[in-house]
Amino acid sequence: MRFLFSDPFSKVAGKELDFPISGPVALRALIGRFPPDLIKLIHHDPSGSDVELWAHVMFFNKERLLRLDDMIDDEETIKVLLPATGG
Amino acid sequence: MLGYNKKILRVDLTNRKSEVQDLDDALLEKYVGGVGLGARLLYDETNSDTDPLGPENILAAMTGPFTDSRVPSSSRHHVMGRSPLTGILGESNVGGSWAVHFKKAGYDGIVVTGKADGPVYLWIHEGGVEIRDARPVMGKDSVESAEWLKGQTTDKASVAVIGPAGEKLARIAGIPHVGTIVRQAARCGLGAVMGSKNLKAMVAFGTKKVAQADEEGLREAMKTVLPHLRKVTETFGKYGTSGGVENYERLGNFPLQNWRSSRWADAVKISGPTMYDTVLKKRTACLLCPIACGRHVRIEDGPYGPMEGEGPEYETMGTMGGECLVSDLAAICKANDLCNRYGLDTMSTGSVIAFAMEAFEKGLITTADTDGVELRWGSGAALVEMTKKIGLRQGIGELMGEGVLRMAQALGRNAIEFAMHVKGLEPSAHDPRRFWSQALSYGTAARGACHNAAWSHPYELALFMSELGLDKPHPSCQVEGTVEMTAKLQSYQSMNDTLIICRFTQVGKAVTATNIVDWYNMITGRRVDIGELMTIGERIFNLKRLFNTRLGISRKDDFLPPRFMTHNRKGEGITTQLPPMGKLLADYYEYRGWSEEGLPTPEKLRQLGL
Repeated sequence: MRFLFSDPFSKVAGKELDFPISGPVALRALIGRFPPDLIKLIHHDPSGSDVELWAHVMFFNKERLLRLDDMIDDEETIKVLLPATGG
Repeated sequence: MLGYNKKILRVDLTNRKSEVQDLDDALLEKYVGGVGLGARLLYDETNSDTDPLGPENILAAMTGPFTDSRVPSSSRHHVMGRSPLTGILGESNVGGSWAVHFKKAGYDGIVVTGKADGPVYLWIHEGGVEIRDARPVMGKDSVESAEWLKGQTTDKASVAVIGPAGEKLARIAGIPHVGTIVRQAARCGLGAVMGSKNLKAMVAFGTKKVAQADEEGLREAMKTVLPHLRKVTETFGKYGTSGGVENYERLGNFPLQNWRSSRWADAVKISGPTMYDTVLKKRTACLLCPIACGRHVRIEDGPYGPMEGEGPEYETMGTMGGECLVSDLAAICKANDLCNRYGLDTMSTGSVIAFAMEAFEKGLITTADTDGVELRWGSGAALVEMTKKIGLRQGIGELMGEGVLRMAQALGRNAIEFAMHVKGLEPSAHDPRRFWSQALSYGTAARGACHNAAWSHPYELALFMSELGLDKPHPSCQVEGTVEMTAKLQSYQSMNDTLIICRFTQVGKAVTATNIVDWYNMITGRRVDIGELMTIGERIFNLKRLFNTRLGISRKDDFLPPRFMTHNRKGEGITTQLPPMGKLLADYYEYRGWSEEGLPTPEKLRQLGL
């Protein structure tokens, strides 16, 4: 599967990050495989909630906002953006 | 009841008199503060004959029990009057530091009536209020004026001061508040109400502290809440409100080309991270706010440099950037700074410039009307030049300062078809075709196309509020549940505007409804539950509707402009469904206990004690 990063995450992770997976894997587990700098930038707390994650970063599978426990398949591409919170 | 001064300062400019009105507990229990008290006063003290720019209109500024307490992000107040832009209820909620200084001077609110026989300012302090001569700063911008006014009073003061736009009665004029930072009570043309009264400024400073029922309890509560609030809003504070530009554009929520386009690759050029990497010099915060979402920017050189001051917010990026297709960040920063200085609402200013760009494209106006300015999509130079003309009311800027609706009526032909407004107020930067709760909120908000009345777009994506029965984020673009969520959030946000606390504390569920109830009880000594606070919020929302229905507002006014109702956008990720406003409004009125025409029923009013 592939992550596509927008600013500011792309400055740390590059535009794309590929994770070959053999079967469906939870987003939470995939985040755990991120480089430490990226984990710090998205403020990921393994014990944190979806809402706390969404305050720092949003993962989208097509138009669907992903939760930490959502399963990702190998052929899927996940877009990673700053949260839509302002205004 | 504690947490208040229990005093309203009343100033009659015609007779140059002031008096203090005592507030009784019964009124405070029923309307609490902020928008609640303001709406009650506006309803009682104006009528359908009140000219928004006449001496009989009132200008009210109200704080709440949270003001000057340990509650985070509560340095805010609510400004109200009959709007010269829309003709109906006008309101604007503003941060900064003025509310705290004003409350420390010994008052909970101020009501200004009449018209002075020459330019004046109010110097409000613990010893009372003085009506002083403002002639030396007439025609000066807000920042220059504030500097002089602080020199005449104290440099510790906070200054609510209009610029040339308000002095010259532009109907989209706001009220800049200048302390150590600049924040505007921007919406609804309330700057023109000040101008109509010959009131240049209200300067406030004080040191008094009101007693609270359980200050120690509040201090203890903050030990848990503040670290959590700082943690979950760290990204929001770092990149500011514009951090969401790229995401909102991708979702189809960002306004583009006067709301007719779907996708815009240049959005990234005006996003929060781009600001962070280029023009941002430091973050700014309202007094005692740990979030610090404000931007202080500097443009070193180029056509708009040197320039330094408050930077644009998300709504400004949407209206001056997306709506005009301007991706020149320096030009937006410059236009934003001009709005702060002239005292213009950036949302209405950006919107009316986008409208004028479309009128120019369609041949309804030409360079003969614009003093030679090529009013083309994407032109940063045109954006800045038109902002100057609007702020100084020069040339076509005179008409543009009247807002989109009046400009469309003046241009005639088919201009009204692309005039984007609800009840005369230009929309904020959230597309109601993307978030249907926003469509309903734009339609039913008392002041017109207002995103803050429900502030529901985050709840249609990634927020929820279990205490209100909203157990998970609401699915977008579906009728079922949208009415209930929108109505509940309108009542809840009414409470937030009456207590008063910033919407952004809701980011990441940092502050919950349970927190709000607990803190209200700790400050006032009352013992209420969330149900009672929601009833107060519903009462306030209905009172504002009642104010408008007295002026003839009904279902016919609750629809969105044709482009939102009929123009289907295309593009990757863009929803192709249009909000079914007829169905949404019918269900909403039933849920609210209003008639089929959208009027609060006598039964509902009795139930709410109105």
